[in-house]
Amino acid sequence: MSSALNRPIVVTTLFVIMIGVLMQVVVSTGLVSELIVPKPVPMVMALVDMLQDQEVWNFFVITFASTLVANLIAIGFGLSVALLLHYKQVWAKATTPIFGALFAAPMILLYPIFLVLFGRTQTTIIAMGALTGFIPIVLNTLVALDAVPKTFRAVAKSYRCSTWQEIFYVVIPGAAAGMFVGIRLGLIYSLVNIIGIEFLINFGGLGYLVSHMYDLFEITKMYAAIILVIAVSAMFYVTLNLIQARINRISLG
Amino acid sequence: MIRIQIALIRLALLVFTIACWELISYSGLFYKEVFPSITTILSELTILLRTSEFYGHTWVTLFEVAAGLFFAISLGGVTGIIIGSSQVLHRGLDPILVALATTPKIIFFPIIMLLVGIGVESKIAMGALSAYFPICLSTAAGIRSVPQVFIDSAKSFDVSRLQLIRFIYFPAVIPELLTGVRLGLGVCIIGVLLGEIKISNQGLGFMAIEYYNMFNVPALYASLIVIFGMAVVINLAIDFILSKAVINR
Repeated sequence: MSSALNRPIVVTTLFVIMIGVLMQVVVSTGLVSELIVPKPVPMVMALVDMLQDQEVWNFFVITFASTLVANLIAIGFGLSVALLLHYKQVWAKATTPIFGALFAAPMILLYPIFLVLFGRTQTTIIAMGALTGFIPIVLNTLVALDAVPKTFRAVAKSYRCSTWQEIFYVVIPGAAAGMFVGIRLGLIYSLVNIIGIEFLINFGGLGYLVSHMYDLFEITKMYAAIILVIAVSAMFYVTLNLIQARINRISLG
Repeated sequence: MIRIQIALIRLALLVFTIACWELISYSGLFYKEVFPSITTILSELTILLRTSEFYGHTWVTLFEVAAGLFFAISLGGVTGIIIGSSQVLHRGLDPILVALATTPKIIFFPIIMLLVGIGVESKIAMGALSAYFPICLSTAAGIRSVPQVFIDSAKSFDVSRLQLIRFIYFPAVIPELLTGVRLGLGVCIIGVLLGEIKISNQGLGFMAIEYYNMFNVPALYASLIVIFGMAVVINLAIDFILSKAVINR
């Protein structure tokens, strides 16, 4: 038993079950109305039903496709801007604090401007996702590029590599692990913002699903949808961390 | 020399951005209402700053942020210390907290509305929920990083669990708690404003979305400038306060 408790997955599962039991007791005893917090068993049933519903999978695809497209844009622009700035260090010094300030700013609040520009469409969601993903990609790529050892570049120069050859064969492979930190953060920020905007504008994928269930006052289904979003976000985060660990291992040799 | 170059580059970027904006505004590529000229936005900003209504909304938002942060620090600090100081609790709850921390907090807003209604309380709760996770996780991580030798030394003096928290864990965790507060403040502001945008009748978030609903785009831009400016000022102020607090330690 004690060895089982040393395994995080066992302890976490026990905690989830305990929270579920506690909710069941609180609702069953009438301490909290079932209209506010549903019983866990119907909630799990609703979640299982949702996972068998093709429409829910469509919402899932919409959110992930938006995140992917937004990040392809963010990665394209982010890596290009970071590379340009890396080779113009004065520009990098002048703009890094601006990107830093933007990173700390509540960028999601710009969505009404995108609504004005593109309307209540998928373009608004993708544009916001790209914008929020772009900044961490630039900042982390700059750090990663600066961390490439000077010896690598000196070796490239000694082989008379052109600037492009140096970038593609030395700088990018040397900075890959650090660059992925930015891409990983960009993906996480994009997904969070995309789901948030879907919820706020009642449009799109998983965020819309939560908002729609609330509007219909389908409380059990709303909770199930929230659990689905938590699970998706967590799995996304864990997957990206595993990829990061693998890239780190490869780059360390 | 390099400082002058940096200043010139920043100035050039500012001029370039303004010039591009004006060019787009006057080009006719977009509706003039969507891309109003800088002067229109600035005049709208001046009008906004002169209205008493604006200050009313600002105070509501500031109050909600302050109250939300207060609850987040209280709950996040206490639960962070408890979770961090217990091996089993940390092992079991850390993955759940990380999973919740990576989730967009706004999706919990319907639950908050069901629990506390749609008034100011829901925005305070939204801000508190957003700030809770960075504060709790930072505090727990700080507790985990306390060297075992400190704990063993204290235990050799037969200290109680409460004394251990008071004299060993609490002083050691302050820098991490402050980092959590720094991170938490940013997301607390976002949480409160998003709550106001979703459903409210007061606050800066409500003000901005009302301008959008009335298609008063210059006023929307002006209100967003104010909101971003305020977020920057609050962040700088907390940085200053926290750096002073660390120095005084």
